[in-house]
Amino acid sequence: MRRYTKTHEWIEKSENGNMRVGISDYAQTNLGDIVYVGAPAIGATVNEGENCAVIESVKAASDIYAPVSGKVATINEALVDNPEIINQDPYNQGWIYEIEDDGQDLNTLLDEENYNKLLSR
Amino acid sequence: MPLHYGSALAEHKAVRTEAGLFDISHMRFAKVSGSDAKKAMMYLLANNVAKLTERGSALYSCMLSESAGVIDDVICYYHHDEEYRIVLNSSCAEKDLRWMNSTLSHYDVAISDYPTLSMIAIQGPKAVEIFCKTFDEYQQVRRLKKFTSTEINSTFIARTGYTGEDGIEIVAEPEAIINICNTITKSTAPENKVSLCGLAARDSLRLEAGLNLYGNDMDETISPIECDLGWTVALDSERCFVGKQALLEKNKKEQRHMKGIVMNKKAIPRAGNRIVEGGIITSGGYSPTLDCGIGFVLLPSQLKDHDKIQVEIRGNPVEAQVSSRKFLKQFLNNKDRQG
Repeated sequence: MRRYTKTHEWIEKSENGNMRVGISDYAQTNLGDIVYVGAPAIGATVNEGENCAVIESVKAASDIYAPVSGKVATINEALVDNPEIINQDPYNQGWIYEIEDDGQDLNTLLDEENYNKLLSR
Repeated sequence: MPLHYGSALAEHKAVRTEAGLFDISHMRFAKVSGSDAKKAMMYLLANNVAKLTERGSALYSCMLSESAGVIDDVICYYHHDEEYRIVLNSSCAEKDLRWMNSTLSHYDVAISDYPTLSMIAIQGPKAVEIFCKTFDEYQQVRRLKKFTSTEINSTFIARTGYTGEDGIEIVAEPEAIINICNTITKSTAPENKVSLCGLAARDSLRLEAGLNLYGNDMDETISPIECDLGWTVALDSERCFVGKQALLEKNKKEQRHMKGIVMNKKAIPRAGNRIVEGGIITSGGYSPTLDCGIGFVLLPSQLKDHDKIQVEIRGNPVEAQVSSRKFLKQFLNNKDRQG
């Protein structure tokens, strides 16, 4: 079950047992063409609500905030040469990094219905 | 003009391969006319309008302050000895007009500006061809030489632009411009396609072409030499122009230099990023043509092409190479040599 932050990141448990993070369709639309993704380092600790990655679009750089704290397990290498995958497929192929599942509580984040409510305000 | 109409990258590519349409109505069209017009313009601009002798011919120039800082960069079009047209940057228009009125107060000239006129640019290798195919009345634009202008039925058309491609800029009453836009974007045939282009593409195109942006690359604290516009200053005669004395004084001392940079890694330099070795990025962004970050850098000393420097991006030093600012030209030259 995907969960969302107010800053338009999403997180969900992936098949390999990690938790996968990306940005929402709303975010990628507003960013425009993405030309560079500065993912966190593997092994680094990301802290909930803090800047953990950067996405560069043609016009500006945008900070990505960690939905929950954790240790970075993997990053999506495909985004190095093809950052535009995030624009094309923000929820699947466009995932940015994974953290180790440490039992972090995702229930404090927005579910899809409440995230959509946030967008329609 | 919005940031983009769907995809800044697609719009950039459209201008490099076909044609794109920009709404540049924020630019200010002005005229300097009167018996002293020529003398006044020769005094006002750092480039020498005396070079312009054919009706419609144009030049690019800085307008300098008394201390040789850049007040604005402009294109000036010659109509005849008693009338010149000048296009001012929107952010500087009011400042420029005040400056022109006070600086030229002792010349017999009238300075008029036209804030209600609309302006568009159609740019790209197929821009002129598509424009002339679409409008019978503008056929002669095919023969318009680069950096010259003409007037057809109260429509001012210049073969100038801000993208590094061939193309035209058109100034006219709003209804005429709207008609041109609607007609030219109506065609569904792929060979006549003109894409709407926004600010993001406008910026990435001019960056690749090595063209300065007022406010980023120069302002009143920077001399034209420092922002690589020395070539637009005509110092070759006895002509007195505003800022000449101060410029000659500055030229005797060590000045800063503006060069291009190309990022080695896929990072994007942005205006304001500092250079570890000294200097600052004045304009930066992603180059779709080169597929990497590029920028203009103001350096304290003379560095050569291929010298390595480090750009501080978000607190980390990222390696870059000094290069020519003519990124597009260089890229095409290299492609030709390899091809």
